[in-house]
Amino acid sequence: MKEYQIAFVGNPNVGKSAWINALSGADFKVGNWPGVTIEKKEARVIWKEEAYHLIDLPGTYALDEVTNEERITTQYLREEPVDLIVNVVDATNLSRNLYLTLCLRELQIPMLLVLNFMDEVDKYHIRIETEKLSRRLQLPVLPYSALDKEHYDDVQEAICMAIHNDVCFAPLLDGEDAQRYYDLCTYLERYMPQEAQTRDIHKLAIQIIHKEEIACRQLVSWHSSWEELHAACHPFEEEQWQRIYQRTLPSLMRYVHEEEADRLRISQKIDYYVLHKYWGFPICFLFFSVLLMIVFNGSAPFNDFIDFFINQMLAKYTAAAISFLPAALQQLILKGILAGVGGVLTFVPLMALLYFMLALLEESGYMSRIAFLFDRSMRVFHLSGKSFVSLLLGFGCNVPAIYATRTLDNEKQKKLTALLVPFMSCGARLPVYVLFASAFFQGKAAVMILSIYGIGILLALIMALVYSRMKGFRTKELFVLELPPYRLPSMSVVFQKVKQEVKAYVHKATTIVLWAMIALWALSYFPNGSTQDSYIARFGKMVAPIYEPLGFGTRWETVAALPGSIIAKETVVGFLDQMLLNSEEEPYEPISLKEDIEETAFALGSACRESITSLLPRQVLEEGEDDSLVQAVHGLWTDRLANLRAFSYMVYVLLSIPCVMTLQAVYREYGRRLLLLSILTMLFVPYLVSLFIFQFFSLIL
Amino acid sequence: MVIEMRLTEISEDQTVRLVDIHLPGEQKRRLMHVGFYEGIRIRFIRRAPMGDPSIYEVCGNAIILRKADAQHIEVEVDV
Repeated sequence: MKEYQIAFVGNPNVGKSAWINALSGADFKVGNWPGVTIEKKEARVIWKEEAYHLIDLPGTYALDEVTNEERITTQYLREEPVDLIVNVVDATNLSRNLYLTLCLRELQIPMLLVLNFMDEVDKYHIRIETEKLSRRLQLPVLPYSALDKEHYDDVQEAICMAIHNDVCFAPLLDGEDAQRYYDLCTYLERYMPQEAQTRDIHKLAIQIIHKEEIACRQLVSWHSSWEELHAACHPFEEEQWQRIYQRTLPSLMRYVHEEEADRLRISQKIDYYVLHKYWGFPICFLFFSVLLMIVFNGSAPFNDFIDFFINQMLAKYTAAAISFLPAALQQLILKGILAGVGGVLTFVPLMALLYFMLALLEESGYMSRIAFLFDRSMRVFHLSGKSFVSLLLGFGCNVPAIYATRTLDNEKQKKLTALLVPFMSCGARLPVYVLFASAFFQGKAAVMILSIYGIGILLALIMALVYSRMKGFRTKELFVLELPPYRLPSMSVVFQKVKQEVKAYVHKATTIVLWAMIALWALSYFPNGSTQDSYIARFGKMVAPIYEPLGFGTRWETVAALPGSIIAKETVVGFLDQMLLNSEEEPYEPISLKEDIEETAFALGSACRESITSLLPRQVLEEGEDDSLVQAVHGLWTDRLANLRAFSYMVYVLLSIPCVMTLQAVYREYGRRLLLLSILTMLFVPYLVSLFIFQFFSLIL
Repeated sequence: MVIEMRLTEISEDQTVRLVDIHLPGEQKRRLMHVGFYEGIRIRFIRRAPMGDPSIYEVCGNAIILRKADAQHIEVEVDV
């Protein structure tokens, strides 16, 4: 089967992804471009028994190599065998978008122009003479919006046709510029081999203008002298060439009739309030409070349902099915695999909602506004406005927060922000705080928990200052950011993003995490089958003295609970439960298929109901833990400094190594070095901070 | 009469013409890609609540620039 490479190219935010989604039926692979954290999207479709690879290239304004996005796109187009370029442009903003089109024509690759957002063109009373534009650019022009389902076939058809076009694009130049370019071509023609076609001459001319070394050498090898070459391309300095194209644009804009540039007007009216001097911040904070509330409260009932389904229903049937196996093996399957993987899977609803919100933020255009609002304050800490969003998402779950760093504008900022995300206290750490706060800080629990969150934020900012002294994280790059007009998000793009990420999360939960679970289970089960005398407990006893200066090391149970937190921080609670209470397993209820199905259906129903009714604030603290555990934890320390010890422990849990899914996310996005740096940080920082807190306050109290 | 100034000295809703960008080649090119080239009209839209960065309208697009970068852009205005 013939395989074709189709590259989708365009400015940022013009809807390339939406078109690939549309044409591929939303079936594509997502990865990163080598070496950088920029998403690579690729779909393979079969049309008329031929295979087409649709490749989403990073959004760029020109074929330059200054930013990472530009470099990837430019190098890809110049070096890879591309059969067709689909240049997606924002039809409401042709004067800027067509500049890239002029650059792309230089490549002499068959090309299509897709005018996206045609629906908005009508709304803003813009009229585009597509036929004349098409003739001038020598390109097929397709005036269709990606939201318009009826035109998908037309675009598909056009792609299949255009791929076989023979192209020869002469740069569009006017007046003197055209004459100078013509002179250059005549000069080149003299030296080129006889069989060279016009297209080859243009190609070489452009390469010479861009001072590509290979082309220059080639020419000299055809007996032209460097002096001659230099004289011929003298009028076309790189900057000059850009200006020449900018001069050409108005002649193209003759085919676009708009009454007045009011494309930005509606957005500016909204921005008057959203970015207002006094109301800008309150509106943003209100927006995020509502957003996080919806994410937390909307997902909690589903989290509980998954927990119930796996740990009660599924566990019950599994237990019955494997009762013939030896005890240790039964324990491995139930306590190690099922409970462990289940524990990670309970976070799926929370994550899906967070990803959904993130995609909405990005697609609607509000993300850039947040960057604008917070840029000044974040810059104090060598971060940029968009880092703020990543850090904020971290309060929900660190995994999507790490993923969100991809939307930042430069590589160093991305890495720095990714290192800081784990300092944001995620939802899984809350149960640990709740347990210790209700055991030691009766009546002041909420304040203590909030102060833990505060310490996390404070340390993130301090660490930002520390890291930014390191060479790898300092930036002096130009900050240019486009503020796109507000747009209704394309739901197909939003749902695709959510689906992709959740799929990846579940996949990891059942592969890498699984092995971590089994190892941890084995450590807490062997040699005697009891947690209290397991290897992990022995290890806890052994290293506890190291933690004595921190206050909580006097009880080895608390130390032994820490390694388990790498699966998910909330496992600390379950571990302490086993350590302190040695609670007997409650026997599973007798199996009755009919009742169980009814019960599951009922639980799912009430989860759906609750997730909508409980969107309003809910008292998290009232849920509490069962009293016996609170009592047992309260009994951990009884001396004068008991509260301080508990607080020191809470801080340690906040700051210690993030869960395995977060580490995995850091590794996937940024590789081994940053992962190691992150682990090292999260080993030393919590120790130092808890040490400081305990020692300092034990002097005062 | 024509008054020359820096882009940072512009007042709200004022429109100016770009004269030159005093930045190294790469950075200058990046600005040109988003529409900042000689002779283009720039309209000042608004400053961020904390005074920096600011939004400018160029070729029908809203572009955010920091003060540190915008002060290298030389503009002129007719009076």
